[in-house]
Amino acid sequence: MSRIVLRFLVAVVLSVLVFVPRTASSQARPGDSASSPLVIAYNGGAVTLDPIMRAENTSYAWQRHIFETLTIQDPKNGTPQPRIATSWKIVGQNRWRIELRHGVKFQNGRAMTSQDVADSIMDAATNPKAQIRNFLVTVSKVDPDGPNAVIITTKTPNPQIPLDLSQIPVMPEVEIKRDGRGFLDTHPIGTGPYEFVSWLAQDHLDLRTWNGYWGPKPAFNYVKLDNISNGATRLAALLSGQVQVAEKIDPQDFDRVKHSGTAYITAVGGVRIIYLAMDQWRKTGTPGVPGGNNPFMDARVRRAVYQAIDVNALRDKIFGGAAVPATQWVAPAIESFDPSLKRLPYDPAASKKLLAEAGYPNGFTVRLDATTDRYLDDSTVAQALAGMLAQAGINIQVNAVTKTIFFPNMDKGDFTLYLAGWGTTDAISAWETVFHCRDNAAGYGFTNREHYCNPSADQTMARAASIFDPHFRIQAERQGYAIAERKDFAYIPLYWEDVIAGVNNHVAWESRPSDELILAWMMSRK
Amino acid sequence: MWAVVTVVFVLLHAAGDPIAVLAPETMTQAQRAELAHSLGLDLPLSAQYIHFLDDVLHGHLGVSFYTSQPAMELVLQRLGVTVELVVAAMVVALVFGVPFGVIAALRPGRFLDRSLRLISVLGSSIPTFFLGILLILIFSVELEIFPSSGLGDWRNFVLPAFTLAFYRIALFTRLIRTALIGELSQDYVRTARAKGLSEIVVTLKHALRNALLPFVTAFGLQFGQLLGGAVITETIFALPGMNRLALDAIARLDYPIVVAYVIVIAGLFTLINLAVDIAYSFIDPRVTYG
Repeated sequence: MSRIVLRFLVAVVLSVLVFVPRTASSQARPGDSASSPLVIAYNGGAVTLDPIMRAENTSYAWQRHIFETLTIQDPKNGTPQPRIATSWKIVGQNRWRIELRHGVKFQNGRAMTSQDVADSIMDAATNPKAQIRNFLVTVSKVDPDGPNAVIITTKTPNPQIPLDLSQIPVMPEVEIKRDGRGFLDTHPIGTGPYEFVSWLAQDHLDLRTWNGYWGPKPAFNYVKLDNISNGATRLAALLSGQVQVAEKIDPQDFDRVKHSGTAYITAVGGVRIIYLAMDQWRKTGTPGVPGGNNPFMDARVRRAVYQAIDVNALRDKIFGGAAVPATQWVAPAIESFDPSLKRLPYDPAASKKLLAEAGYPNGFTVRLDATTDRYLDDSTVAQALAGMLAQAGINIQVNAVTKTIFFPNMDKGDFTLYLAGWGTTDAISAWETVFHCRDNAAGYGFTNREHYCNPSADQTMARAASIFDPHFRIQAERQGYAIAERKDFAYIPLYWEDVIAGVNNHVAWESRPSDELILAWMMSRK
Repeated sequence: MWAVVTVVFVLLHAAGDPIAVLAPETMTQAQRAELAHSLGLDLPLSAQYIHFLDDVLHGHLGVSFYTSQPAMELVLQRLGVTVELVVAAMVVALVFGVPFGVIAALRPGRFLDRSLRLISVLGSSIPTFFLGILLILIFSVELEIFPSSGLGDWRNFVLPAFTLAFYRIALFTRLIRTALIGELSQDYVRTARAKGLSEIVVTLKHALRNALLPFVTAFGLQFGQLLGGAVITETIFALPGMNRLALDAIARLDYPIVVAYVIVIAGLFTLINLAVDIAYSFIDPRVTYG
């Protein structure tokens, strides 16, 4: 009866279905034109382009195409290398003289002055919203010294100043004073190899090479930094050639990338250590321990936990090899790393013996707090640890929550045993924040929530912090850390997270373990 | 509006301390206190609430904790993408759902009806994230027809729009089918046929028009729901929509953005309800406003 209606409707639907558009097939090489830029996909996007307002890697990475830091870390060993600062030396008590590069201009054409540099450092040190102030706590003032140098005066001797300057961007302070900081988010101007074209906060940033740059011209003229926070989409975009570099590829997908014929994986052990932290100051009544007594007061228990963990299994089963079992806090990409320190063997029998000696022949029960969304596979690792520790008789209840709940609770001291991570830039600042006896007045140990305290180790590190000769300083640092690592078992090292990226076969890029940044101007064609 | 805004304020403050998320691990207590003070977060909760209400009343939704950009501006920048996506999805759902429903109603129990029923079962049972990734794998990785993510031209909207539309196609097919079968058995349809009107006119002009009433209600509801519910699709396809912005802002406890977002969504809902009421009057002459 209604055959005509039927035919009519089916025809409409089919005609819509059949109409299939084609994407324009491979035009220009990526990076050659504004319509076909080199695209880098990050897991997240910069929240702000104001280079001192967000201490977080994606923000750093996006900002540092436009802005330049005074020094830059060597990708392999983390030592400071020249950038805007070309050389540095001590000139008297607590005074550093920093020589500046000639011929540097801002992207509005104005020549950079030593006053810009001096003001940038003080801006980063004193702005209450600045998130990189911790790198400059020792700095009391900065003065221009002629047109091409500044003098940095510190409150206490600080041999680390050149390294700290690798975090400090040079900003157009004249324009900031004149117009306010707002333009840093709408149309930032720096001294870097790329200039700003357009952006949408947390989504994408379009860039093109800037002709007035003092240094070599990057291989890719047009670059788009993109936020693709879903891992499966990021992988798909890499495999389909829509993006040329994609960070943080899931280790489970390594084989897909390797067999795709379009891309390869670069995975290098980074500086972020994942570790177990244990309360070491409340003898009784610590949260999450039924029965009252805090077993972690005894170093033998802490060592028992250490030896009950099979880190190689975590690396192979969870990370597909993309993690490095940690022998110590300080990672190999930092100069103070001690290659002679080896990891204690995995030995559940030894753990049981240590527990028995410490008065826990039948083990004990404790809650393990962890995040679900902060570190690579964090809650999976916590579950795996619970299984391993059960073998040694330690009964673990995992409590994994989102980071906005976890970190405030951690600050309140609600945890006895928890899974944590720390990206170390240098041995001394990590010691002063994480391991130093808590001293709020002096600003030491403010993230030492476990209240680990060994005054003689603190003394060794304080001595190290004032040694200007790198060789002797590193020796002292290794001595200090050895006490926390092997005498006190102040924490339990697990592994260093790998810095991972998938890269198109036509682009040459290797992950930077020291600062983990992905930077287009360091890439080349191949 | 006051209730909405107050609920948001209470929920956000119950969710945690923004300073704990905002401040990097390396910040000292003194620096944290200074940061809290600069954002007005050191005041007692009651004082914060009064400041907050005062600001909202004066149209100042504040500046994002993380940038110097006004929160409302950030949300409105992304409103366009979400609206484009949702409109595209609703158009797709309309273009497929209505004809499917009519086809199924004309031949209930036959082959076309049964295959469409299969589609609607799939449509209402496949989760969005799964469908989205499936479409990406087929159409951008294997066939390379559509881009997998980001903004560009209309092609970027095809996969996300179909992802969102799939469930709505299923829903509309079922709605139209049921309503139309009911209408086709009514007396006025027999009268129309008896008048000698062609089958196309009878079905599409007379019966379908009456069958559309429940559909319009569902359409409006789905439209509103999608505006705030496209967050998974926006994330999978990396589209800079306002839902994704709000999700990120909640994770970072960036209150001003969340509040601006909720106000925009509440406003849009009101507008859509109004539009649905007006649409009624066009379809059903008995509904009038005056």
